[in-house]
Amino acid sequence: MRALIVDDHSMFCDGLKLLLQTLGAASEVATCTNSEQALEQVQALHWDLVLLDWNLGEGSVGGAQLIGQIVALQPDSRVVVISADASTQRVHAAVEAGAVGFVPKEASADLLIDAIRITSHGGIYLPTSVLDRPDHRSTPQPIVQMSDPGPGPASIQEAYPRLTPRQIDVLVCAVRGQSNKLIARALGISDGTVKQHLNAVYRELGVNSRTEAVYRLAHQGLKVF
Amino acid sequence: MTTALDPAIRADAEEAMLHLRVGTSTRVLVGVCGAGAVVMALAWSHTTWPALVVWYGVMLLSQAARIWSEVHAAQRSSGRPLKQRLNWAGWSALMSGLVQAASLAFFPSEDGFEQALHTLILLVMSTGAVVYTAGHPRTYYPYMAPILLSLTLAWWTVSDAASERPELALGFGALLVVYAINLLGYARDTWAMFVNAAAMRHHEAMQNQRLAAAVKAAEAASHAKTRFLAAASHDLRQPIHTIALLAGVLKLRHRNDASTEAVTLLDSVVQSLSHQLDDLLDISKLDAGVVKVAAQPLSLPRFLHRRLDEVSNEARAKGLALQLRADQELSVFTDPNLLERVLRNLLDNAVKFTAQGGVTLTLQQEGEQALIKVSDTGNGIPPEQQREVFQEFVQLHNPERDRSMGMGLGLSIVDRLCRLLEIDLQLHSQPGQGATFALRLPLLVRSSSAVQQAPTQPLPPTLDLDVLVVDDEIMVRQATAWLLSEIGCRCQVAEDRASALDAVRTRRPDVALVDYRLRGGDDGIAVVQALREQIPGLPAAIVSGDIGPEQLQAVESAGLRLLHKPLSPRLLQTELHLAMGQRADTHEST
Repeated sequence: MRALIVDDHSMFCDGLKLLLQTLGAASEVATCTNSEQALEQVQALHWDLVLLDWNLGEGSVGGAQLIGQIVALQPDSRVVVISADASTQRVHAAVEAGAVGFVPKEASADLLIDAIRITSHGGIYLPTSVLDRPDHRSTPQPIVQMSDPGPGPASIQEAYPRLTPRQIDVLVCAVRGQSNKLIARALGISDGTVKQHLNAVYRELGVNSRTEAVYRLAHQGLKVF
Repeated sequence: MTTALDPAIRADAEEAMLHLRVGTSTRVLVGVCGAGAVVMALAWSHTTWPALVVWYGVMLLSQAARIWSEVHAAQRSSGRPLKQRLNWAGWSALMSGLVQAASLAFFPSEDGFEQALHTLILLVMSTGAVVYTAGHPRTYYPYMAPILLSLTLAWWTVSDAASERPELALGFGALLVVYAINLLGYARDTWAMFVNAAAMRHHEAMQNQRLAAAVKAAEAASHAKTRFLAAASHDLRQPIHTIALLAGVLKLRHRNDASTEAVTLLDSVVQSLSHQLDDLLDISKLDAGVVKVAAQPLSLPRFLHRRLDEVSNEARAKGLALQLRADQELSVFTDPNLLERVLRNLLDNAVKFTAQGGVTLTLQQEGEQALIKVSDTGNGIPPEQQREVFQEFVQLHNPERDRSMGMGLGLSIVDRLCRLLEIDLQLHSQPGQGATFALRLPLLVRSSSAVQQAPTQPLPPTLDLDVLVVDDEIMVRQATAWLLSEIGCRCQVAEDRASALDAVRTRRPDVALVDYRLRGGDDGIAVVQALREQIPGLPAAIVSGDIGPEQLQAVESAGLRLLHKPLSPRLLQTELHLAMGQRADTHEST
């Protein structure tokens, strides 16, 4: 797997690179410290995983806008946001913009290892605090545990055997933030068919939108490649 | 007094004097012309009229010159240096004084009464001029000196000539000299007072200037602090985050090593450091006033549930029971991020300082307010310390000041945030009986209203959706269809269950809006359920004009959103956007 780290602090880039390499998760890791470099890299080479700092410093393009640009240039990449501010709103904005995960820069090694392991294995990591509960009016249930990090995330196929391979293709594309148009082009089908597939998939997952689907998959610890 | 004077103050006073003369210029003109006319009348019978007319003409000319010099030449706007302008004023005063003194040429021919009147007029003029020149020596003396000298001489001259009682005229002349000397003293005092006033004005201006400079410096300092905070929050935390990463790397490398213990400790040290830095930055940001409130509608039960989830790991580790009592769907208008911070701090504290028992989070309605309570079964806080706990660096149950328990900033952050959010914060506690923090926020319109959670992003201008409207009243159907077309949606209408089911067979809607009360006792919830048998998971909302608590309950337990009539385009847009979520966007891009 090839991973690209984008963070305006080269120190943090190097640390994250070291962690990815130690985990043995990535065959190649590149780092860059601003949005221009990031877009150049994304344009020139294929990256499976883009670990993106939400805030690239004053005056730099970042956040939702940059996620959109990266997804448009490289629809197959999975963009995972890394941010010191992991408020519910920020996470929501990142997922809405097309991110397939959100790793808080929180100072806990275990959490970082978990998050990086899950995302580098194709899972969706979201901070547990933002994960929705289907029924919010009951008394608290045991907290959601992120999927057991040992065996790695399960596939969508296993969790939703009723979905067809084509529907899963469409879902994976959508979850990565691609627009219906992009998905249609990538899979060689019509926009209308994409829409139909997505409706079917959302019904199967019991969700109403791409964003909800991302939360749902994160909740279940499923792999999206 | 004037000798030891600051030149700047003297200049100010002189400038003010010159300015004073602009305002009084016309009044002086009226006085002088009137007085001149009286003098002319006095002398008319004994003197040849051409001499009088010539004198009066010269006086008018001199007045014109005086006014021009006072109003224009002597003013700051003329751009001349002050010294030169003062000379102008002095020369113009001398000219006026000489012309008026020249009237005494008619004095010897006047009779006693006329001479007295003439003298009176000149004395009034020279006395009044003190006021008009503020007693400024270089302006006043050139005016009064020729008049009073000539007047004295005139009296002495008439005493030599045909006076019946020469000693009286001589004595009066001497009296005039004394009067002139007194007038000089009076002028000097007036000028001193004038300068004094200028000094006070000057002092005040300096004070204001200093004040303005201080305000500017304070603003600059505040900006510097803001810049520092921006830099700090972005850059200062990075090394700490990097250390956390490296701790992770070490953990992975030395999995079964004796160093694991050290790495675990390192990890917790870094965490503690990170949290303390976050707290410090929060406090500074709040104090610097750079924290902006981004309020939005917020549905509380789910929000509170998440907050409780966040501390559940820690609570379980300590064997504490967590309980949420939030049965009512209440919404408020506030900043979710900041409220999250408030509750997180309160819950963290509650868990941290409770050894056994549990923590309860309660939500209830209290009049027009939502009441959120965080209660614990900890040691409680003695009444005399209940104010103190909100101050920085105060920790009650940590006398050893174990810094791994934080710095005691939690509650001071809560206090500041509540003030910022205009939340009423109260603490109720008895020693040994736990503590309860109560937060009161104004409720957002009616509970379970349509606007429970507005999207964080601005709404798209139009929605491209197929909407099924089910309502038994044709007027309502048409109005709703019109509203929907306003916001870019296509619309199918149906009047009852049967026609709704027919409609969806031919064209599949993206979302259904169903009236609560339908014809023949049918209700909207049942219709939605029937529609969902055909289209599983069809997004739908119930629309209602009036609805009782029981029906409200029914709509809620069916998991449907409730829209209150009358509908507005904005409300519809919000609702449909919420109902559809991201799907609306993907439709748009097709």
